[in-house]
Amino acid sequence: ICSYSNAMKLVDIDGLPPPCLACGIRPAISVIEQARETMAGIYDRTHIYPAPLPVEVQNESGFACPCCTFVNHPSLLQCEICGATLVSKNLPPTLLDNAMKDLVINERYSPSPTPPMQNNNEDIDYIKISFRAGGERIFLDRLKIVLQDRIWERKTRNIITVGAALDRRSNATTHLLPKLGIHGLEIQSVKESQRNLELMRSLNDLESLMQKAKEMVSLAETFATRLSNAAGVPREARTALLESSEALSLSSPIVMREIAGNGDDTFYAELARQLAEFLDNGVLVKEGGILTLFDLYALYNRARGLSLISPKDFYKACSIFEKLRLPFRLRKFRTGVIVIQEAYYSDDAVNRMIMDWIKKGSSEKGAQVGVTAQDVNRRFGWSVTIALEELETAEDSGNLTRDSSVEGTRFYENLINNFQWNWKRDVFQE
Amino acid sequence: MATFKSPTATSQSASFPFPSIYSFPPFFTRQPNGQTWTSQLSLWSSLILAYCRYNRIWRIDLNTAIGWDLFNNKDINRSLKLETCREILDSMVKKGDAEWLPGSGTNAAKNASAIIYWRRPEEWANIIADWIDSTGQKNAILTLYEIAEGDLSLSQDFRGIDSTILRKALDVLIRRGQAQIMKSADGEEAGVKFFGTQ
Repeated sequence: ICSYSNAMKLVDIDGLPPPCLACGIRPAISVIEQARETMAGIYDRTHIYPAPLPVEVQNESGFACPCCTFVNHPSLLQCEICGATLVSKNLPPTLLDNAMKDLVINERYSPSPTPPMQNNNEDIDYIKISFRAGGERIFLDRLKIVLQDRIWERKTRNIITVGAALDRRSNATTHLLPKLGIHGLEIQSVKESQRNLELMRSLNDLESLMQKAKEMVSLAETFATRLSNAAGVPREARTALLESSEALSLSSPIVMREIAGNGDDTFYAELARQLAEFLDNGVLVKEGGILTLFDLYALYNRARGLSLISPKDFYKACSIFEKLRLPFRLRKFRTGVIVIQEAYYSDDAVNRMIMDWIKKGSSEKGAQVGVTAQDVNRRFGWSVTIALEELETAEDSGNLTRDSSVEGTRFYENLINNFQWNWKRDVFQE
Repeated sequence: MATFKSPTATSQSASFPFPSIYSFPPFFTRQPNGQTWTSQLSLWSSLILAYCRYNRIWRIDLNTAIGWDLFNNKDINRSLKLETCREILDSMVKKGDAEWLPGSGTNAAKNASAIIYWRRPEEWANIIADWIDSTGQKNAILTLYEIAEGDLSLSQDFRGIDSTILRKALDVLIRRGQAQIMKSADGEEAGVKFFGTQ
């Protein structure tokens, strides 16, 4: 007994109405097995399997073609002689009615649940045929012969499962198996392995991409060295290229969570080490020995190029500098700005630096000079944010005083704290 | 009664010897650092006291005083903000160097003017008592005007003293039993009788 999806397939491909829906088991199989096969193929195979045909089919004597009156085999869809569409008048009325009326009725004949077929059309590339009253051996042999005889235009994987008959009404029932039971599981596992294969392949792609990236970096470096060796190259270009390749590359392989393995701690430690190395490679010096956390984050991720790290991982790695005895420290300013600096850059040291600089400037000018955050930025190379933070820290400790005016805020040495003025004596000579 | 004359910025301070801190720009910015601010406060109150004494200013009206050169250094183009000025006066009031005068009219809520005690009432009391002694006016009755503006007080430090301050100084003397307020028939305070020091 033919199933709904078989019929639909037939209609879809051949543009024919499904006249033999109820009895067309053989044609249905062939249609499913290779939808694009010509009708000739169907004839051939139809004739090959007379023996295990279902009872109903055998009882029928075939039916006449409405055009040429040739009595066709009941399982044929089209007349063997003239090719006209056959109408199965001789079918048992119930079967015919059912088939014509409502295709859902199919479920009556096959007790096993039928899933929505549309979704399965593509997925299922095999058919399960159940034999109730034997004959499966012959069927198999014949099928094998057919498979060998026929030259299949496309590779079709046929998995023929011979199992106990399930259906009471028909000897041979074709099921488009749902993804249920053992078969469902089998399908699932096959798909799983296929998916894994795909994943592996895509991962391989990624790795090859990274390989390429590394090659690019090394290429840039060779260019840089060649340029720096060559004469007559503008100096700016040379340094720019050098810097770019520096920014591009990390000397050691990128630390990744997957590679580090062994839990987060190892990963953070590795990350911290690499960060320290990165900072040591001139990044911190270029930034004046102090760098805001987000600046470093941007720089470092730019250097990584790919497989960027998350801010959270980054922060955690930075916060264990001290624990790992790396020469850098995470320092938090009063206002919440967090910076990375070399370990010896304590508040006091920075304070002294600024104070020495301001005092020197004052004594050179012979008057008090005030400095802005921009001045500090120019002098020490710190970012303006950091410069301001440092100045305010110095102010906090009482070393500096501020002068806010329309021109902005300038910082002066603190003369107020130690200014002695006895007005009664100085002004009134008391 | 003595009238309170507000000094003008130009005439008053031409010769006032400002301390060098006056030329230090941060001096005109309220310092965020607590310790520095404390120092700044005391420097400012000293400066205000000295300035007022030098120019014989008894009262400061913030709204006009903010334009004085005391709070504006034109050389360095810096001036003290009104709220900072108010803060300074507040701290002076707390220390007893000044006293807010009750506001009047629309300004009632905000303290606008203050008496500056470049000498405390006790000091004034002593000075006046000494002056009474030295000029032989014991047991004499003087009007308040005579003390502030009279011929005999011409060269005195309390010349032109603010009536409120004078009244407070006299109160100190009264408490000590060295003076007594004499009232005229209509209840007005007409004069003060000094008994001299015991």
